[in-house]
Amino acid sequence: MENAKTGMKAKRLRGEIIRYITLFGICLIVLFPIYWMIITSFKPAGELFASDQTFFPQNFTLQYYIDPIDGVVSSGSPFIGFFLNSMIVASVSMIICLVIGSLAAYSLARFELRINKNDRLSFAILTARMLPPIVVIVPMYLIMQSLGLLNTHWAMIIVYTGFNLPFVVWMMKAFFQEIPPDLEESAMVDGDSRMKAFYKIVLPLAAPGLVATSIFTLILTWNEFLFAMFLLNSADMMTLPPGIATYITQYETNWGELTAAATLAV
Amino acid sequence: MNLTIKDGEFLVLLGPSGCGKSTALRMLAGLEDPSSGEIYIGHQPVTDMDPKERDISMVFQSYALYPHMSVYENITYPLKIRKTPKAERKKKADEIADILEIGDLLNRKPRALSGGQRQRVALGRSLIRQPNVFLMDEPLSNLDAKLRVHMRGEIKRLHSELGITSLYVTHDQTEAMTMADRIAIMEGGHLQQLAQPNEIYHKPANKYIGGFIGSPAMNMVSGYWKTKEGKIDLDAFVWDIDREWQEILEKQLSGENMYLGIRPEDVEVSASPISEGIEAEVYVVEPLGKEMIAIMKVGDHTITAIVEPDMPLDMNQKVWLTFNSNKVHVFDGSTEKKVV
Amino acid sequence: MSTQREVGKTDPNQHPRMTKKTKKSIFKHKHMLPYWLILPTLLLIGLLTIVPLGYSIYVSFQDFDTFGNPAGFTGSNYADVLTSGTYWNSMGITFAYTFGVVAIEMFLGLVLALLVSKDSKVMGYLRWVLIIPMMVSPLVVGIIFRLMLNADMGIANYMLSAIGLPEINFLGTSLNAFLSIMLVDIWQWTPMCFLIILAGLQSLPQDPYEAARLDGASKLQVLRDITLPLLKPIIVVALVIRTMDALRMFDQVFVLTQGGPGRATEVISFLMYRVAMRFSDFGYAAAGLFILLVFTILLSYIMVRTLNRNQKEGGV
Repeated sequence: MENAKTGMKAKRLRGEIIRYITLFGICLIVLFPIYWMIITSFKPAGELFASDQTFFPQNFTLQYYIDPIDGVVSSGSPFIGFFLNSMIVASVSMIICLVIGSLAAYSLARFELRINKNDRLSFAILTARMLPPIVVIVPMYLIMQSLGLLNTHWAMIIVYTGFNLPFVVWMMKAFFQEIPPDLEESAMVDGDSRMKAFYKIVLPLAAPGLVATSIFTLILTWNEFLFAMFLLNSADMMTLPPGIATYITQYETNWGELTAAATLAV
Repeated sequence: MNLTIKDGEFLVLLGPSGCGKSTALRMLAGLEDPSSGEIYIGHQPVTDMDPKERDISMVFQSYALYPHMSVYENITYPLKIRKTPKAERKKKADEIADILEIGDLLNRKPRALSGGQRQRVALGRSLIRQPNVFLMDEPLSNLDAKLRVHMRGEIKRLHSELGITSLYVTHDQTEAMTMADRIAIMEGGHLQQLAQPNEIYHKPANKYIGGFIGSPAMNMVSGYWKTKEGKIDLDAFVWDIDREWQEILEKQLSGENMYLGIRPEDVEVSASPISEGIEAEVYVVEPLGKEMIAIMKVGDHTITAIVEPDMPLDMNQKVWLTFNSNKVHVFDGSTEKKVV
Repeated sequence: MSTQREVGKTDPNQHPRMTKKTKKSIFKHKHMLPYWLILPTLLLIGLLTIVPLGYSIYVSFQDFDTFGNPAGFTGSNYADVLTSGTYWNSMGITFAYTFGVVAIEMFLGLVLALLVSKDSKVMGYLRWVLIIPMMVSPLVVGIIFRLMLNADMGIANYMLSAIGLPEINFLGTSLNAFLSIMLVDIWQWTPMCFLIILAGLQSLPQDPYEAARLDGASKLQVLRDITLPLLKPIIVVALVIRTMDALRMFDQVFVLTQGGPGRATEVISFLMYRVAMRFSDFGYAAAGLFILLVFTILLSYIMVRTLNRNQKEGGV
């Protein structure tokens, strides 16, 4: 009896050890590429092409981070421009999404809309999100062309707002539904109008949801490559992903600068 | 439904869950729209007004305290909306905090309060601006039994001190009986009776109210009124009644079906045979300390009685029951209205 | 009692003169508020998805000259696409790629989710680590792997030769390039399957597990008979999302192979990018993408239907 018990224990312990070793290995696989990118960005050119690869730079250099900044001053290296473009596009479209999307989410979360029987409208909005963006890329290009918006930030802001809006509506709807309606009703009885109650009671309480939603939309926008590639073609307008891509298409890839840019982009 | 609340009155809207009492309250508050009909506060029609224009205040079942505001901010929020100067807000908050004994909690957040404290804060927020009408939606149902009894008294005192017209919604008949100036009983979306607590207890308007008010519930026995014999036939036994009653029943009953309602405290139980008593068999006894509840079988009927706690009753023992005929309620068999 | 204020609710019959007196204008009426709140969203979504979608159908029937200007109505785009060997080559690659990565990612995601499903602090941190790849821009991921898989100076070949294995030309041959692209996708998107399945796993009721354990089921039996059937709805969700994403994969091909060597990794979206941007043949691209959309919708519909039907048959 005693033996069987310790045997069971040993077996369980062995299982746990195997589990943790496996997970440790997986974490290595997950993290190594990112580690390698960062490391490479600190290696001087000589080490990059050395036949003996090292897992840590022998001679640490910040050259690839400093060069582009110098470059802005001297030769007009565009990296900081890409970065600013990404910031502008991502933050403006995020703000538009949050304002418009929160209002719609509040409407769907609190009111019984005649056009939303059985949540039909909510699902229609979600379906818009499921549409593969690549399908509309050609018409989007032509529409932007005819509106004269090709190669402008506005084109990107409009496109990203459209893509992220359904997502924002669904996330915020879930957050609003978790706030008891009693609170707004109480505020309304106390003397607020519906919109004031929304603004002063509901929004502050949904703040964590707003933060989570904005982070998600920021990541999605920050990483988007295809549309930026199609709709932006001059270096001074490009966001980070197509901007970084211009580093590759040159015949000789400058790995140091590329990985430094990629590191900063992450 | 037509319901008028008098100025300064404490009116309780009583009914089982889902009877529409909360909906009625929310309509008065302007949180829901009536499909038809009009609502007045004073002589002013308010049916199309937003809640904020109605000058009412309300305590919610969940208290609805704003979690991101301190107790002080919660209480003074209605004043802040009305742009009352800061100094006056402070003064009023202190007054209210004094009355409700929550002075030392003003800087806390709602989540750091106990149920009873939250309840007081919710009361404070509703009372701070002396509203026209004060609405309460089951404000005590989230408290434990002891605190509920205590707050019951507190709210009643507050009302008599401030004299604000109040409408209180509850499903708890004890709350209704103890607090109300008048009780309005609702069932199935309809107002069943509007009267003072004692009147409701002693003169229930219909069979539903008779059974709803009082604990243990009124014994309700179905039977037939035999005109020719001047008797009430209750299947298991026949009850002779006097001339006066016979005449009333003859006039008021719509058919021969009727219900007899007797409150448990009006049933006399005797362990020894009584000539005009009804023979019954003890089914179960439930001692409660200061009294004892005896449940007895008479044929297919079950009769509940409240008896002295020391009365020696055994299961299946034979007993004899008598009723004081003055305290028996008769309800019509088809309309269920009270007849006598 | 003359000062008595009354608070009351009355029948319409009693005050017929008072009903429907002040109808506010439609802009101020309180019942319209919810519609005003949702209107901007509906307008934007309509303008940015439905209009372009309709326009893409229109464009797909347009002929474009070599400068990208519309040159009249034509039905030949669809004929051109459907008879084009290049198009079907890309279609084959796209679907092979999609089935491959989705199957592997779902399997790995499930295994990972089961491994970390126990609740503890360490597991909490591990979950965060495991979802890092999906947060990184696909473009950056492409760059990292391009660097690591580089035939001459990449760390991958360096490590292979360090342990005595022959070096591999990861992006040089057709099959290798295809498998490498798959590898990158698996590295980046297994975390998404993992995340969705983990969420499903954590919301499963505990009772069936305890019952099964009392019935004497082994861990594998519990997994097969309880966990997987209960997880089916969430697995369908992960499957559909990943399939739709994989079908339109673009970034990795752009960075790693540019569709090469030859056309070995030229997935549909990359082909259409080339056609539209290099040759300005928008009509052809729109037609090709519209066919892809039809396939995507059909595929996800079939997936949802089959899996749901299985569940209905097996579940009851």
